[in-house]
This record gives sequence, C-alpha cells and structure tokens, in this order.
Amino acid sequence: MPMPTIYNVGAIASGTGAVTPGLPLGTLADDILLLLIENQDASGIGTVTGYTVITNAFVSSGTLTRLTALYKRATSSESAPSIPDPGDHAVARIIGIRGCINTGSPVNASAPNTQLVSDTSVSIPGVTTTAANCMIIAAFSTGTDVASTTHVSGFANASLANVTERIDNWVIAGGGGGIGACTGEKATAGATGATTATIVTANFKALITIALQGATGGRAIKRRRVQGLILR
Amino acid sequence: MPLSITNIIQSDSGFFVGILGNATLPAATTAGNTVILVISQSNNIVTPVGFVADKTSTFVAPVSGIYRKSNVGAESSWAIAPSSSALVSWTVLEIEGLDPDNPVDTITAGAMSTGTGATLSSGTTPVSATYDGLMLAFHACLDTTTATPGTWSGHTNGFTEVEYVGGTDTGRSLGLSTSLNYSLSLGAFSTTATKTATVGQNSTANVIVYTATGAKRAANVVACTGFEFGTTAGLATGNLGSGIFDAITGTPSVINTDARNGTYCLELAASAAAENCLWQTNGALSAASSTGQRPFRASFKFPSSLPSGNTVLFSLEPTTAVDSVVVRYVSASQKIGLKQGTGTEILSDSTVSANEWISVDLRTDGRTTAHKCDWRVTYTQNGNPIDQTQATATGVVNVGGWAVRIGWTASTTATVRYDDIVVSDQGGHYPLGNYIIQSIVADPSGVLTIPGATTDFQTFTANGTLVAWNATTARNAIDELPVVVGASADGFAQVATSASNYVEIPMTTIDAASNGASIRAVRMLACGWAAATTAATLGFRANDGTGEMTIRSAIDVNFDNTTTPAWVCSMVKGTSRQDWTQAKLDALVFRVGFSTDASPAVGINAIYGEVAMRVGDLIEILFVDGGFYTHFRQDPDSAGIISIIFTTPVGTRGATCSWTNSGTPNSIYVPANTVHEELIGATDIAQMTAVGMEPDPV
Repeated sequence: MPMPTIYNVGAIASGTGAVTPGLPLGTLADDILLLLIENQDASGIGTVTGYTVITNAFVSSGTLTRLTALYKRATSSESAPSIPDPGDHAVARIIGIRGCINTGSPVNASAPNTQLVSDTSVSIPGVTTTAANCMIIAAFSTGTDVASTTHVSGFANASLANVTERIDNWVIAGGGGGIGACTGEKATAGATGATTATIVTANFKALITIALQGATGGRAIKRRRVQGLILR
Repeated sequence: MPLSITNIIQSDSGFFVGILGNATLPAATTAGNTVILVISQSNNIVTPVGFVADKTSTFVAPVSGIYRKSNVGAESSWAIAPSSSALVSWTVLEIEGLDPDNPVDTITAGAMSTGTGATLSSGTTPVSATYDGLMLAFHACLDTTTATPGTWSGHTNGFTEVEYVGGTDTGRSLGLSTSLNYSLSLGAFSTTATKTATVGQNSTANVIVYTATGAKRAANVVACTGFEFGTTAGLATGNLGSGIFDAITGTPSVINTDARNGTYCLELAASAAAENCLWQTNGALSAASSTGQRPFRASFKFPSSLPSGNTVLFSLEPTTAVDSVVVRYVSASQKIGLKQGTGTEILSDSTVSANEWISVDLRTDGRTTAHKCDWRVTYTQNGNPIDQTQATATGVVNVGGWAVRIGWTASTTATVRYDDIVVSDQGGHYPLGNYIIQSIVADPSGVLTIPGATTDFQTFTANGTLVAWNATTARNAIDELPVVVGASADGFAQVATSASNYVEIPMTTIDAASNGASIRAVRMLACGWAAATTAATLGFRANDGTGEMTIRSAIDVNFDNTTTPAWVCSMVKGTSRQDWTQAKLDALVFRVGFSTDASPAVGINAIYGEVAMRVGDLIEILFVDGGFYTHFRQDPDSAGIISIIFTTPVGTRGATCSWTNSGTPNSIYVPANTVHEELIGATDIAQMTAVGMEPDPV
C-alpha cells in the first residue's frame, strides 16, 4: 500500500462573487482533487458540482471565517470547478493527490475544530488513522484582511514525515481571509497528533485535519493460454 | 469585522512651540472615517475648530485633550491654536469603522489622571457597553528641568504604543505617547506606563473606549413584561412609575391559556372601544435615557381570526404627539403597517396569519429632525426575522424619550394578545431579538430572614389579622401567583419603624442555558398591602450576591388593603447598568422594609421577578460527511456560548467531541444516533476557546 503523493497544487482563486480555482497541473483520472474554501458567511458554501463535502468548520464570533474541505475523484476530462458566490468573499485552492485508494471515498479520517483565541499560534488537532500510508492534510483559515502569501510559517508535526507547506494565501477581497495548509505522511496507522504553525496576525481559526488513504496493492493479472498465445 | 490595528488607516504626530501649528496626516482622509486628535501642551489648551472634545484636562500641566471629528473626508491638516504660546505635542489618527453617530462608549469619571511618579495609570473606565471596542490611551510628561523629552514604555493591560512624539524648547520638554487596545468583551479598561522623564515632573494620562459602527451593545432593558404576574388587580395602581403600568384604558385581561412563553399573556378585547396599557416617559420609562432612540420589541397574536378592521397594535409616543411611531394591522392588505410620525406608512413584506405569535422589533430614532424607524417582522413564533423597509418622517428633535402604549386609543373592535414586551434605551441594542420572559417567586424552600428585630415585622391573614412574625408563615403567605387580594389576602408587614431593618426574601431561579438563552434583565413586582389607606413608607432593595441595589427608597407607596392594590415595580439594577449572569440570578434576594413610619402596618401580599432572557441563535459550527454536526447556541450580543449541541447520525459511528471552557479541556464520546447538548452558559466571547469533533473511523 504505497503512500499517496502530492503531484501539484492549483492556482488560487479569490473574489467577492463566484470563483474558479485552478486545477492542479497534470491532473489524471482517479487523482483526488482536495478543494479548500474559505469564506466568512454564516451560511455555508453552495453546491460545487461534482465535489463532496468532507468537513467544514466555522468561527462564528470575532472575525468570522469558515473553512470547507471537499473532494472529487478526477475524470479523464476534468475541468476547474466553479465555487458559487457565498456572499462576502471566497478564497479557494485545490491540492492534487495521486495514489489514493481507487474506489469510494479516499477519506480515512477527518476532524474539524475551531480555536476561539486570538493569537498567532496555530494548533490543528489531529486524527487517528486506521490504515497505513495516509496522506495527512492539515489546514486552517482566519478572517484576517490582508493580501499575503507569507502569512503562515513553520508548519510542524513530529508524528508526520515530510511536512510541507502547500497553501499560504490571504486576500483582501470583501472582508478578507485566507487559508494555510500543509501535508505530511503518516506511514503507520494511529494518532497523527496536532500540526502547529505560526501566523503573522493574531486571530481566531477554523481548523481541519483530513487523512487520505493510500491505494491498496497492485492489480491481479490473469493469463489464459489459447493455442500457444498468452492473453493478458 | 472587529476593530483592530487594520482600522487605523494612518497616523502621525508632531511638536511645535507657539500659538499656531497644524496636525497633519500624510494623505487626505476618506469620507466616513473618524479623526482622533490627541493634544498635550504646557499650557492654554483650546478645542481645535471643528472637533468635539471627548475628554480634556485644562488645569494641571501638561494640559491635554482627546478630540474627535467624525465623518471626515478629504482633509489632512487641522489647526491647533493655544490661547497663548505653549509647547504642543500632538498625535492624529484616521480611524475607519467607528460609529459615526455615537462613537464614545465610555470615558473615565472625573478629571484626567495626573502625577509626578515614575509610572502613571490612565485611570480606569467604567465597565464598557460595547462588544467591539477600541481603547485609546495617552501618557504625556512635561519636564521643565531638561531639554530631553521623556518617553513612555511598558504599557500594561495589552495596550500598544502606536505614536510617540517629543519636543523641546528653552530647557523644557514634552513627550506624548498614544497607545491602543481592542476588545470584544465588556470591561473596565486602564493602562499604566513608565516614563523616562524626571521623577517629580508632571504627567497626565487618560483612556477612552470608542465603539465600532454596528457593534452589539450590552443590554440595558428599561422596561419589560411577560405578564407573568398573572392578574389585572391593580394593573395601573401605584405611584407614577411604580405600577405594573402607568395607565390603562378599557378592561385588559391577563389570561393563562395562550401564552407565547411562560404561563400568561395580555389580552385586549374591545368592541367599538379603546383599550390599552401605557408606560409613560415620566413613569415606568423615566429611568430611560433620552437619547432620542428607542429599541422596542413586542409579540402579538390574533386569536381565531384576523381583525375585521384596521387595528393599532402599539405605539411609541414622544412629547410631540404627531411624531409617534404607530404599528397597526391593516385589514385591506392583511399586513402590518408601521408609520413614523407624519411620514408614509410602510407595509410589511408579507401578510400575517391568525393564531400565530408575530413579533416586531423596531428602533425609532428621533435624534435629528430626520426621524427614522428600522424594523423587522417575525411571522411565526420560531421563524426568522425579516427586515422591512425603513420608515421616515420629518419631526421635532426628540429630547424627552418615547412612551410605550400597548393597544389602541380609538374606537376599535378587535381581540389581540400580547406577550414578551421589551424596551431598551440603547440604540445599538437593536434588534432586541427573541426574548422570553418567565417569572420567579419567593423560594418555597428558602428562609426569610430579618437582620434586626423580628418584632419589627408581623404576618397577616384575612386581609388584616396581624400576628407575630414567623418566617415560614411569611414565606408561604407571599409566594402565591397570581396574588390573592381582598378578604383572603395574606402576607407580611412592617409594624415598627426601622429605616435599616428588612425582610430578606430568597427567590427561585431559572436556568437560562437550559432555556437556550442568556439573562438580560429582571423586573421586580411587589403587590402592596397596608392596614389602612393612611400614608406609610416602605422601601425595596435587592442583592445579587455581589452587592445591594436600592430599587425603591422608602417613600409613601400608597398601599391599602383593597382589591385594587398598589404595586411597586422596577427594573432590578443599581445606579449603573446591571450585567446579569446565572450566578447573580441564582443569588438574587429581595429586601422589603426600611419603613420610616410603619404606621399603619405596611407590607406586601406577594413579590415576583420577571426575568427577561434572550434566546440564543443556533449556528452550525462543525460538519463531517455522514451527518456529524456541532452547533452552538450563541448569545447574539456577547457571542457567549450558551450551549453546544453534538449530533451523530443513525448507524454505527459515534464521535469524540471536545471543547475548552474557561481554560479547562473537556471531552465526551457521543454514540451513534444521538443528540447531546452540553450546557455552557457563557456570558462572554472569551469563555469558550475551542471545540472539535472526530467521528469514529469508517
């Protein structure tokens, strides 16, 4: 059961109306498209065609922010999704994961949280996986109204291998807000522990951890001998 | 968006010596923003032209002031003109997002803080009323012994210096530090800073709390009722301002068959007649500040059928009668109409139905001649409020407040029921939202106590038979609801003069969180009794566990022993706003006595509290695919969490749910197919700091 890999991250999209985040370059059929959306409206994101909501978390006081995670199994003719206008603004980006379990939902575990303390320390509670070789996505959002691609730093989790920052996008569209996300590898089943980071501007946070399960072993190959030919 | 450093669009500071200088900003201001100018001088300070002085100190050098100019556009320079030559340090800030009409939330009482020590506190503000505040403080030091201006550091309580300027002239120096802080909670704010200036030289400091536009405000309910007293006996009897109502017309009823909440509601039923209940500005509403704004909420119902004709439901009436706000049922459209003064009546966006509790929230604003009224309608008891078109009119500037009349004054045939009436005098409190009002009575398991001589009090039965004090007898005599008056009346009375003695009455309580609500206000209602109609004094106080509050000083209460008893009714609060908590309500006791004559015997038949609670909003916080939800029941004003509701789907998967309350982490496993509600009862946004949900693996 190999570990899934991050093959690419699509272009950020943000605005005060409907937005269309870019598809990760090189998307192939069966790749998992993990869509992360930040908005600040009490009502959630409307339907994103073809995508299934995994989880969402909403900070309902102070500087509002909602983080929603959805996924889609890519087809051979995939196109960028349109995120319907949620009201104030939306920030959206897609992480492309390859090598997840190839049928059904790739989600092994997920957990949303909110941190209602305005500070610069981020601690994204983890999950407990039940399968080997899970790709962990730890993401958070704040409603900070700033244009920055360096708002978060220092993603860390001692329980995960190859912790890598994947998203760091804050915008000033509407009331403003942004997403920070990293990935890490959990080779053995068990608790992932919390993922930590630091942000520039203190604020409340919406927090999500998702574990995507790796594909099971190789395909079985059947052979039939017909008149000396070997058919596969 | 809460106020933060990002609301400080630009700032600058400077120094000059003389009789004229300019405070300047690098760029022109944006319309709608506020300019705050902090000035500290060696002497002779004058309010800059065009500015309002929010706080000044003109007697002790360095004389200082905090000045404000609201809704400033396209300006970048403002003249500062001392009345005679002075050292002048100034700081100017352009701030976005402050309330343009009433930006000052609270200021320190009395003079600015002054001193000569190494440290100086800004002074402490009263408890603020805004849930989105910006605190601005300054520290200034004038040193006549050195040309090196002093600096300030170590600002406490979360304040951060944003500007400093120091200047010197002929051996003197002046240093001015301006600092800011922000808060989403109520509080009393102060900051202390340390100076480098010579100890022994004068310093001045102060702090002001400004409020964000549209900020939620702490409740200040000035009148409320859910009719939970359950009777019409003496409905408008008592001293002006002390009765349940100040005046009634017709024969209103209090019924127990159709309450929106609690047990009772008011029914006005007339056939070609006027019928109404009135709270007057010089009566029950005399304590309301005359800010010219009045948020109000009432719920009403048309039992069985809609009225056949137009029906005035309620009105808010200023001194100038034609400027009244009138809310009525309009039969031609079957809608609710609201008319502000002589303006155009605005009809609700939808029709109303019979047999539904309908609620109207409104805020009338007569602070200028351009009167306006914002309002919303909730068409069913648990429906969502719908904002309506604002009503406007030209009127007289309101300086005397707004009376509240439930019902109609013209000849009308209609039956209307009312419940959960709430009046506030804080414009920022609109919309008041979903209130429920329930009653508390003398605790049947409580013990009445008398701190002084028990012989000062006796119990009575049969409307006049007085016997020696017995605490149990007295408690049992005053806890009936509705009150029993007339030949079978019982209660207790003060029979000997003692201005310091009283009967303390523990009251029952209501768990607000289990009602999905937060406590906003308590109104005391005491049904009076006296052995004769001769004048006798009686006083009323309360204690919420944190201190005693005088509700009514001992005066002639006009009590008697008839079937139309006088009442003493008043909001339970001291001299300042009462911020209720569950603990305060749990601890609430009333104190009755303090009579300075006790002749005739004077006391009460019964005593109640009407507790007004604001139902929290249900908000989805967390979701996980498969049907796992976490909701907050949240106070819409303070953002305090009333309760957390964890929901797991049908099936085999439960969830581990966690939350952190007052710094203590908690966790619970919620099995499949379960709704679990965890009562929190937080009164502040800061109490809950985290919540999470991890479903069982698939």
